[in-house]
Amino acid sequence: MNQPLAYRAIEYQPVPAWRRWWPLAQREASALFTNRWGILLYVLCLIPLLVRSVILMIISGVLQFGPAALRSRLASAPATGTGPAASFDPRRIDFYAGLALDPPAMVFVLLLSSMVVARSIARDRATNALELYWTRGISPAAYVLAKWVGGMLVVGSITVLGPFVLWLQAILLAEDWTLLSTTWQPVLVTLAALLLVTAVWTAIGTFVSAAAATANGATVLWTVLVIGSSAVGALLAGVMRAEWLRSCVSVWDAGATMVRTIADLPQRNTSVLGASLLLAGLLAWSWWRARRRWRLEEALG
Amino acid sequence: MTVAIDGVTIRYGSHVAVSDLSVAFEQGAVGLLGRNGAGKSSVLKALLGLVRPSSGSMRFSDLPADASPAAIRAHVGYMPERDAYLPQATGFDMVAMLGMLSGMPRRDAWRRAHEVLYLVGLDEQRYRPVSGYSTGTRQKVKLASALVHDPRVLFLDEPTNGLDPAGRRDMLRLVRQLSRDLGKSVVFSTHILQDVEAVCDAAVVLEKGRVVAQGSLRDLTAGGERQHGLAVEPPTPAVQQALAALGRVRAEGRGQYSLWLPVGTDLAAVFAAVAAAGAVVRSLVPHRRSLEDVFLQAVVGQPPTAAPAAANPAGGAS
Repeated sequence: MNQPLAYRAIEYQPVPAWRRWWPLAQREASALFTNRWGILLYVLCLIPLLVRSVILMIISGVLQFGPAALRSRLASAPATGTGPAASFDPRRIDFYAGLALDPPAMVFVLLLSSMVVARSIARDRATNALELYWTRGISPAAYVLAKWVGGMLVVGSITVLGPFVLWLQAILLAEDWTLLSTTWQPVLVTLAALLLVTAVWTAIGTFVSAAAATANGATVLWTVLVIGSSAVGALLAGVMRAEWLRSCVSVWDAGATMVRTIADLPQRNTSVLGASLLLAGLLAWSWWRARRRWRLEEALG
Repeated sequence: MTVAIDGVTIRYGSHVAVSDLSVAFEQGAVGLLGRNGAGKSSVLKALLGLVRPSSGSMRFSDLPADASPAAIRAHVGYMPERDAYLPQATGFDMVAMLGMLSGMPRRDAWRRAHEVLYLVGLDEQRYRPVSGYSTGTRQKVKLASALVHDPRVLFLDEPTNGLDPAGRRDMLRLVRQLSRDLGKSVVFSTHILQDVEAVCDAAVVLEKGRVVAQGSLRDLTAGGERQHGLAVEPPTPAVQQALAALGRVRAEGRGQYSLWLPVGTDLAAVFAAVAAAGAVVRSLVPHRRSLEDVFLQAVVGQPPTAAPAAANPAGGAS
């Protein structure tokens, strides 16, 4: 404060209250990319997309890569629709949805969501930023909306945008427009379903973040919720020989069940009702916990 | 803009933080004083709409009575007492983001963030993460955040905490200029009474959620009577009798007297009384109570160090 005072009054047209959350959502979405570890994490999460993209190029013959026998098997799979490489058939919607729903995807989505979504509000609490936000012209509800949308943009870029980009690539690499005309409708439905489930997953993660005491605690809680429920679901399904239990216990399997049901994709024995109840119950529970914590903070802060 | 609080009670469960508080923060800088837990922060949070009073009303003079908390906050700049910053943000990012959340368009918020950061003395540091700042620099960023949207009212909660002497001096100078030169209403909550004396025109003292003293600093420090130091030649019993007729008096020896006169007493009467007793006044020096005296008397009931009651329990002339 060594400079002479140069304060001046300003005039501006205030942004309507209902639009003020958007800059915060943008900041939330871009926060991951402000350091090298965040960028590295995101690139890591892009690996499944890159792998499928390479496979697609091999199938279409654009890329002459790998042993001739493998190339031949991949190239023949689309024609026959059978064999071990059939899951890499670009004419099947599973090829695109699998990018976000197959078991390896869980690891990457979990990594990303635990670093971005689960820490979002807990991190603000740790630095007392909530006091700064809530004394501005933005309501707590708008703040949570911004955090949720910001996290959804990042996670959705892997779970929704990734399959869409892969599908676009398949369309552009195809010999004619048959693939586009035969897949655009189911792909759109699948993307909508993925968006819905991503929204539910990130909402639960955001509420967990709001309810947790610390950022690390929120990460651990979210990880335990996803991995733990998946493990318990697998164990119960194995012991009780009831495959459908997985969709009633595992957060991840419940989401996958919802997507496959909405998009009418093939799936193993599942319970749609159980999956819906699990996701709705978790959403309600985490929201209630978050609200309870905020009330306490308001009183004691 | 003035802020009026009328009969406000704030409860946290069964705990009453503020009880039937009525106070007006007039234009200019007003010190909000009180011990820890006196209710200062609760008052500020209620004014910001973060805590809902269980009874009473609050009114900002230039805003409608039914203005929403968000509408009120758009005109208020708040500097919290606690260390607070946006994670992973630089000083510039933080101030610009808080400007946008206050309703500023992006372009205006960016331009304004540079201005206020320059104003509080952050040059190249503004591009470094706030998490790496010193305590004093974080205080400056918090002040810049409070100013970014050009509020009409500023609530500053312990703004000089953690500042070195030079930083404290600069902070006080800036607050003084904001209130006196730029017409901002400033509510200055602090424990440091010298800071209030340096920048404020008035003060409100809270104790256990109630107002125990309020008014302009001039009135508060004047009290109900004003102390003067008097030197008279020659010091005769007649002089002391003459002075006792004007107010309370205590002989200090060697012609020195302490004299407590009711506020508004014409000092010419002192000269006349001394002259009538056959003596002359060699010096007459008015003494003022410090704000600390006022605070201690209001909060803990401890009388000022030089109060006549303490010096003379009988209360009359000695």
